Amino acid sequence: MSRGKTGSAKSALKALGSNADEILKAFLQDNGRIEDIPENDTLIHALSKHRMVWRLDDADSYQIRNVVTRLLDHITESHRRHSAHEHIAGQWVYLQDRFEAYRIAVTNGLVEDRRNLEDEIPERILELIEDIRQAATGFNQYVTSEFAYINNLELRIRENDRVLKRAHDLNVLYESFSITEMAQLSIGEPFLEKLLQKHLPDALEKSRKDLGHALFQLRKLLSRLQEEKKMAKLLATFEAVYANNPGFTPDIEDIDFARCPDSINVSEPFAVGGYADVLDPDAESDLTDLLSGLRKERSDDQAPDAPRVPIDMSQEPEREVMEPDPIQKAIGDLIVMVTEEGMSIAAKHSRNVMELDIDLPSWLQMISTDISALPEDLRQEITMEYRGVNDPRYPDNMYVNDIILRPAHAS
Amino acid sequence: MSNNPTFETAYALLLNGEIICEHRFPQEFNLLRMEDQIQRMNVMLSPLNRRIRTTQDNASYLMAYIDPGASNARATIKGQFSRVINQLEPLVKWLRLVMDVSGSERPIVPGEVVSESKMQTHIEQVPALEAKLESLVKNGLFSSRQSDSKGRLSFVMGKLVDEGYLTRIGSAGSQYRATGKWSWLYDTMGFISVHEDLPEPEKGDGQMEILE
Repeated sequence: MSRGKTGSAKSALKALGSNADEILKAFLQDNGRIEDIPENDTLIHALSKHRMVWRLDDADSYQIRNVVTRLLDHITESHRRHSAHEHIAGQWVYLQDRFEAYRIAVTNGLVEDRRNLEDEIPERILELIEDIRQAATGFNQYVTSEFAYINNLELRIRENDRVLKRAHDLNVLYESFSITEMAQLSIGEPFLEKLLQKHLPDALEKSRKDLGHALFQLRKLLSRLQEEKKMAKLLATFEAVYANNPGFTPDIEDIDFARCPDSINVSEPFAVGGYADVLDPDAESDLTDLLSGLRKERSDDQAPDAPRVPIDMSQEPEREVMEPDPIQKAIGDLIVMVTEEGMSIAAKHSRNVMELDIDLPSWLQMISTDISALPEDLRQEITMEYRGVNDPRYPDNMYVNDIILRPAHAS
Repeated sequence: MSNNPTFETAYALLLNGEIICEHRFPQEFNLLRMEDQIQRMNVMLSPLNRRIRTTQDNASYLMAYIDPGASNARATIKGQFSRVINQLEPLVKWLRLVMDVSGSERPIVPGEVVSESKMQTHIEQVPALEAKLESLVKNGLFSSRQSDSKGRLSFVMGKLVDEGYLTRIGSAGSQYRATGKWSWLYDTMGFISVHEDLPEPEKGDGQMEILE
């Protein structure tokens, strides 16, 4: 190797060594991503010099190149395995020790020790396989329960987050078992080859799939829970607004309709109109059916209401005094003003004057209903004049915004 | 092109101003999940200044204007908005009532089943819930003169079916399923919240008490 090339290689290794902490942090915690920020300038410069980072364009972060990643994969394997799932990692560390002992026993012809280890190692590996399987399937219970055993939404999200992290860590652990390592550990022994190159990889592959599914479901669940939290917050916001600001009425007069947000962009339905052909007997028959189902106008010759008969209750129960409904009382006052004092009254104005705690549509509806429900003779003393705007599509319908009450003799 | 009855009904429903979701119009919803069908329908709607849009959670399809700045479109959007505003407070109260009854921490979502009989049992057992229901039917969207909880609740559920927020399950009429119209309502609420810059409620605000 020429001196120039050696110097360059040394310099590259030095660059890795002097930035080891930052590189490991980027690799272990950020999937090899290095943000293009002033604090990372030295690191980026050192790695760029030896083409150990790349990025597609200036807007992206830097990414550690595969050549370096492979090295980091190799040297951080035990760390990743350990921090991911301590129990399984511990078992594996113990097994590695047993493999080494077995290798020594084979090399030195220690028959007794070799036999003992041939008994122990398969058992330990089967235990490990079982633990790997259980660890992966254990997450299914969270997916199935959807954390319903936790009532509080916030706590449910935290728990989901925690479980998700654990599942992710376990996945990292599974990824850390490599085929090459298994082959090396088998040292050409058929029973080890079968366990390490067939059964263990099979279990890892199956568990990886289970875990992948669980991770996907947990992420989906987390996103749903966060969405639900957002909705709960939205509802609470509106409740608070209505409580603190009765009659809260937002308007959209200031909206630039050319860029109207989709959430309020709702178009008008199209009226699908139909016209009957009166010369067609079938249409005439349909019309007759329709007509018979129409609401009948109230006729004047209707039978009068039956006279009310008082009920005599000699043993009257204890009276419960109820506060009169202020709205009903106000309507009663209006009726008196119209019928006895001959005044004409606008319902909308009267609501403002009387300072009633009721929205306008309900006020108008209650007046209309109450007056219509009056005894016939009293009802005839009041004329109700509806004011409003006719519906453009159904002109027979009106959006009422006020009712004028007049004494019948004045109209 | 061969006739497709589902396409026809989906088109008619959209023209009629319906919100298509999988719980109310499953066949039509499945059809609209196919991008090519949406494109076909948009081609037909385009001369009418209409297009299909989805709610933010993709749970529902509805008809929107291509150019909302056109004068008639503006008037309609304002009108539709006013209508929602008039109904919003009672709907918010109903959502809270369901949450209080079910013990859930989040508002109802499309597809969720609501049992009228279970609600009724809970409400009759808790006077505070009964008072909430009574306050709900006092005026506005759910204004009713029913004198007992059963009648009031039945009226409210019927009204929600009429307005397209719930759909009945089976023929008994006691079980309902929430439709995609809630998604549309939440989108609108989200818009209002941002547009009006509504303050977030302080943590620890007892929502149970707020509407009392």
